[in-house]
Amino acid sequence: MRRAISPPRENLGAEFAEIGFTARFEDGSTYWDERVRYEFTLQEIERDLEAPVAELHALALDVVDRAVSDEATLARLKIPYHAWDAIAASWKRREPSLYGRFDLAFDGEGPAKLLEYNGDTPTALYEAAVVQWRWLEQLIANGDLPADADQFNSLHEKLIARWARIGAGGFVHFACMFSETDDRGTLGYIQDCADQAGLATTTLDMGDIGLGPDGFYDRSERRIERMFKLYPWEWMFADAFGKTPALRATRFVEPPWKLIVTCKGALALMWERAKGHPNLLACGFEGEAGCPDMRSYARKPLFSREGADVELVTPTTHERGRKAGYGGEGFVRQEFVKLPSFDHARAIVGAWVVGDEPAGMGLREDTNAITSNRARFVPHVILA
Amino acid sequence: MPPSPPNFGRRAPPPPWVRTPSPQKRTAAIVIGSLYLAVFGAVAAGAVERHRACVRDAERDPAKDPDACSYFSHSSSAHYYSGNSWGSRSYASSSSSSHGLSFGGFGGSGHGFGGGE
Repeated sequence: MRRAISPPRENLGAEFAEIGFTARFEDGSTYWDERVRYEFTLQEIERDLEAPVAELHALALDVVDRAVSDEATLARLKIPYHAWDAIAASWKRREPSLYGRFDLAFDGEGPAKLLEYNGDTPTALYEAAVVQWRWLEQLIANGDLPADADQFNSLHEKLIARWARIGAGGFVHFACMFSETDDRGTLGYIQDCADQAGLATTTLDMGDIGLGPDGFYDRSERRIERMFKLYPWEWMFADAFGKTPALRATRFVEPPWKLIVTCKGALALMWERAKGHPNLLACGFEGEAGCPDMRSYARKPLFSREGADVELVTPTTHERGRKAGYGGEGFVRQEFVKLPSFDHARAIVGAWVVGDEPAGMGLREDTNAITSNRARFVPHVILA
Repeated sequence: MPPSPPNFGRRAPPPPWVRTPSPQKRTAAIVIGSLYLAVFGAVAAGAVERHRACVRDAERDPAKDPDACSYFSHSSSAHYYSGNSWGSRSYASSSSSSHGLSFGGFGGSGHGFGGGE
């Protein structure tokens, strides 16, 4: 694994306009950065990332399977009581998952280490699936990459295939907070994949989900039978409709059981289940007797997003992510691992799973040790 | 950002590594298989008992739905969730009359963030 200078394509504005991609943050700063790229060997991809991700995915499902059978575990995860049955019911029905993203620390030297599993509402999908694939194709066509250059990326094909399998030709509502540009773009892409899988779809804002006597409806009074929602389950269960029986009448993607894996407490449960696993970091629930004693650790709220309210504690330093009021439910402490630094850029690997298969990856760089929603996306290539 | 990107179905075929399982993949599959054998063998006995009692109760009372005995009930299955789709379940279709819907019950959380991460 190495970070290399890469020639930016000409007419990027036209390229992004054609594919509907916004390459800058709203303040104009760079989000998509192709002045550099990450280069991997096939062995690094297959042995060090793809295979471990398959194993971590299985381990996460193992944790879910055990958690839904154990009230004490659900209580440790601080999942609200009224959510327990919906979560367990969704697992019992084997409600299918579409996708998830494992965030890994990986430097090409030692084993990749799991930082967290974004199993409920991961974004940065369109850039990983499509934008960087087109980057690869165009650099090969320009002669800037060898013809046999490759990419860890079968996301698009797998997303369509997954929708075809789980959608069964039905109608699916797609919902998110329309005010969030990033979410809306991700939603649009995932909806596009569903369309290509032959499903009939429509979109709506989360606020336009209506509660009727026997379930959820949209503004046109069409019953919401199946819904992809880019809105976290911990928020759904906390919202006004979060205790209604209607939650059981709609089939959601991601399903309610994903709340277990997206809770940072799942990292502690995975460690308990597979202590010493080469791709896991020691982790425990803060305040519990069994929490590993560590001098350097990341203190993560059980429910938080985008690195907010995460603290990195070492004997000599103390960094804190953006304050956002998370942490009321408690924290885990996870063994500190330094993200690899390339030219002052801290890189994090986002490895995707579609259904139950590893399906690709995207890399983001941040100048801070805690990766935030200000991280830049950098493309990658496999060079034999 | 436009809400719906154009169609990308014309991409090149997947790269070779997704078609040819590597030895590492086979190793991972063995590990995963072993893991699942372990998983489905173990569930707390009390939980199973609670579930059975719930199902017995539902079977005696037609007004109750045995499917609602969901909490500790998955242990009886050695099937993996991903084999299922939504396709086999049917729902009542909505009528065209007004349902007296209430809105705004979702979307109130956020901490200043979007729902994605």
